[in-house]
Amino acid sequence: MRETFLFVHPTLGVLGILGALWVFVEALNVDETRLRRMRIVSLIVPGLFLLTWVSGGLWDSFFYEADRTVMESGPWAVVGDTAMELKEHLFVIVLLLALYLPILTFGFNPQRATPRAPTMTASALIVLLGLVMEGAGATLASSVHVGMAIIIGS
Amino acid sequence: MERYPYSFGASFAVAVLVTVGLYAIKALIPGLEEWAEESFGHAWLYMGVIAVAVFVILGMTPIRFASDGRRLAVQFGGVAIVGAIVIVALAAILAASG
Repeated sequence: MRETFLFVHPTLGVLGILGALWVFVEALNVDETRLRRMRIVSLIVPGLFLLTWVSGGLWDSFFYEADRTVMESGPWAVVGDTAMELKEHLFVIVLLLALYLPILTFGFNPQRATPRAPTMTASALIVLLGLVMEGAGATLASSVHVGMAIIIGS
Repeated sequence: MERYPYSFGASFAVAVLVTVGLYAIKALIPGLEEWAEESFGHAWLYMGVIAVAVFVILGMTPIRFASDGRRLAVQFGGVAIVGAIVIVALAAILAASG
């Protein structure tokens, strides 16, 4: 169960990032077909990020404490703590952007106003901040690995 | 229908500011984060719930900060980037202070 939560939450996050990238590409040149695809994908993106939130949060609640103990044995404890704090709080912005994305794609009437700039901004920020989250996760995992090496070495 | 991108854009900005503000208060007042986690559960849960509640409730009201789509993008994009930078700085401060 531990590994399931550990691997599922970054996987769902990456799928959400890819979905946001898809919306960004569709928004580059909007026509009727692209708008329909963009709207469908923009509905999937918040679903993926809500699942990422819950699965990552459950891992934090039930399984992180053991990793934290190991991490704090090593010299990367501050780096790992920074990464975890970052993940807990930066994700809120990513989640809000993901929830906002379908409001942008459905809310604008393409006959009257262009949905391009806000839609492209929201989707690009999801990709950018999502990759920061993935990087923070990798840094956290490395910090635990360094702590483990210290424990095994001593 | 076209008012919702503007109202939710404004509520997004307010929700991010609330998130960053709460995080700054937790970072600056020692012991507050432990108290918050004991009272409301893990930060991932209560910070997310507060932000989503602000976003949804305020987004349903006829609030509007931007006059067109381009200004809307600059408004919520700017808040998201500045909010992310402040969160990175606060995370480092909080982790370094133990």
